[in-house]
Amino acid sequence: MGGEFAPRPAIRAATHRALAARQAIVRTYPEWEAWRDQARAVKAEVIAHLDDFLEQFQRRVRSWGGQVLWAADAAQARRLILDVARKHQVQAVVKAKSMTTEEIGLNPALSAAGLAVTETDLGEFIVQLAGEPPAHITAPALHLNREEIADLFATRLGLPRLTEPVQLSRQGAAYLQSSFWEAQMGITGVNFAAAATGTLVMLENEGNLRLSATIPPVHLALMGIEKIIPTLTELSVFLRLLPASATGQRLTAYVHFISGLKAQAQGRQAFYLMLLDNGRRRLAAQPEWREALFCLRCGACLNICPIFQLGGGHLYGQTYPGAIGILLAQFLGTGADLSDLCTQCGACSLICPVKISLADKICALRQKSLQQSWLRLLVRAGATLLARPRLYRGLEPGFRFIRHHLPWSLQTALWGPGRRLPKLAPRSYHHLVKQGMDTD
Amino acid sequence: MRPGGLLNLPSEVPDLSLLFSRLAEAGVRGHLVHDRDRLAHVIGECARAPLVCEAHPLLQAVALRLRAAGGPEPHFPKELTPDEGRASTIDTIVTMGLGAIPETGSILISARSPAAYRLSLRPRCHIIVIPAACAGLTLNQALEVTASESSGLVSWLTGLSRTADIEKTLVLGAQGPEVMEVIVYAENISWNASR
Repeated sequence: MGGEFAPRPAIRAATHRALAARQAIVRTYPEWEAWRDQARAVKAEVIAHLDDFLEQFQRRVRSWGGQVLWAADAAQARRLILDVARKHQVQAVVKAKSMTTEEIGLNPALSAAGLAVTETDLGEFIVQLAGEPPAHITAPALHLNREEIADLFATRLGLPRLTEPVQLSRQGAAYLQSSFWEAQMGITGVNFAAAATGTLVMLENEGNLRLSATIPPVHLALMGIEKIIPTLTELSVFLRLLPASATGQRLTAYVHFISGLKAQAQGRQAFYLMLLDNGRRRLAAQPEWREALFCLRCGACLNICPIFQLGGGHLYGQTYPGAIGILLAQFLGTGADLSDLCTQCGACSLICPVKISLADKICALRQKSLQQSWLRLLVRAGATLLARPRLYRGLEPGFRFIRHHLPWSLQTALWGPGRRLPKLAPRSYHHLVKQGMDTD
Repeated sequence: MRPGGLLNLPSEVPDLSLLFSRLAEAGVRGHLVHDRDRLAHVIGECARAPLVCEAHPLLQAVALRLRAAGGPEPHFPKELTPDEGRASTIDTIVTMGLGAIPETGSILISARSPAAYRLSLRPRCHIIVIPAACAGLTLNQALEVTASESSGLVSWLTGLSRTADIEKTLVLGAQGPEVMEVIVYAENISWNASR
């Protein structure tokens, strides 16, 4: 399990607001369920013939002048990106929000190579200053309040301490403005990629992605290979599903379509597209699990999850939190077993815009989970013991002794970081009743 | 190719009520104008100096009228260096749009004039002029227009730049223009003129 358990009211409030905004827009779409089915069918078709679509896509991108790089894993992706940076003598990089760059651990690698990296999405910029990973796929600084952000701006950037969110947002944006013109390379993610035309589609709300993609002399776009769709025609369904599910918008403030090299004063901008596997092909090859690749990264399954609402993204300790993160951790992440971070309420499956049966998959994951098999054994042993009161009472002093002398480190291992096992009452309820004493 | 011809769009001005209503929801004003004098007048009302216009024949013609009426002197950038971009202090930019999608209140712009495209996130105010024949695109028609665009870069703009990253408080115009004006221009213009 990941970071320290720290319930934040801000997370619960923000997820509830996001869900309400989503509901308000979905209510106006009578075709919503049909769109979900269509989107799922498109994704299923693409993942079943992934290599064919990728081949067509890379041919089209090369035909308009883009350079295509393939990365089998995170380490190779980092190496190739550093090679591009060296080739173009890059010293400063601006980045737009991209979970895929988080997945490959790009920022630490760029910084270690001596490059100045600036996250230009305001939320990402804030968590970069805080030295923390994003707390949410679409709202990275969800866990920080205005006071904490004001402190960061004042101490890390030397800016006057303002505490109104509007003032802070403008202050951060103004600070970022010059970074786009000073950077030699812009790095962005990709939301969709149309194989037939070699078109990259990117959604954003702030405008920083557009600046990162068009102003520096080099643009590198990093995409997971599952982001392919056959043609731009299929996009109409996804453009309705994704913004509505993510932020309750009909469309994000900006949708960009790139299908050619961009002109600049010095000539054409150099463009690199990196196609990242990092476990995706292995996932696509397993029919039982491949639907995890249908994910649009909207974050709706995070917002609706009662565990996420309580603990936020840091609870998972992985790039992708929430229900989808539990699945992806097995294939795209560290292989961490997060299957206990699920109540099996099933809300994630109902809200997913591409109908990924998240709860069923997590249940299946639990079945094969080693950690869960230990838990099952423990529960079975406990049930056996509790069904035999005489045996339990006989062992009770031993349990009390163990609990009393349990070292702190073992408590943490059993109960999770930052949590304390509750102390036992001096005498058991059974003992008090037997003595005829007041049990209140 | 002219999108109107490609998609067989109507030659008359489409019903703009849904588009203008969606724009208003997003804090953007919509205008319908039928001639160049009126276009110059509306731009003159919204724009402040320093003013930059995309190098498009229609906007160049309108700029003469604007200047004659005592409006701000427009500049037509061909391309800009990083130093010029960093130092840019433009208040208003006027660009041509490819069309609009009433369903979402989105405006399509392209990088046919790369300098204007790259500058259009900097100024306080962005004025976009759209040919009326392309102001009633469906989402699918907009995707066709986008696919047929030769500049290699198209952006759909739906409202103003926005962020809600701090305590979910919505802030408009943080990393882009604070004001957007959309002018639907109903006089016939040559779509190929900007190529």
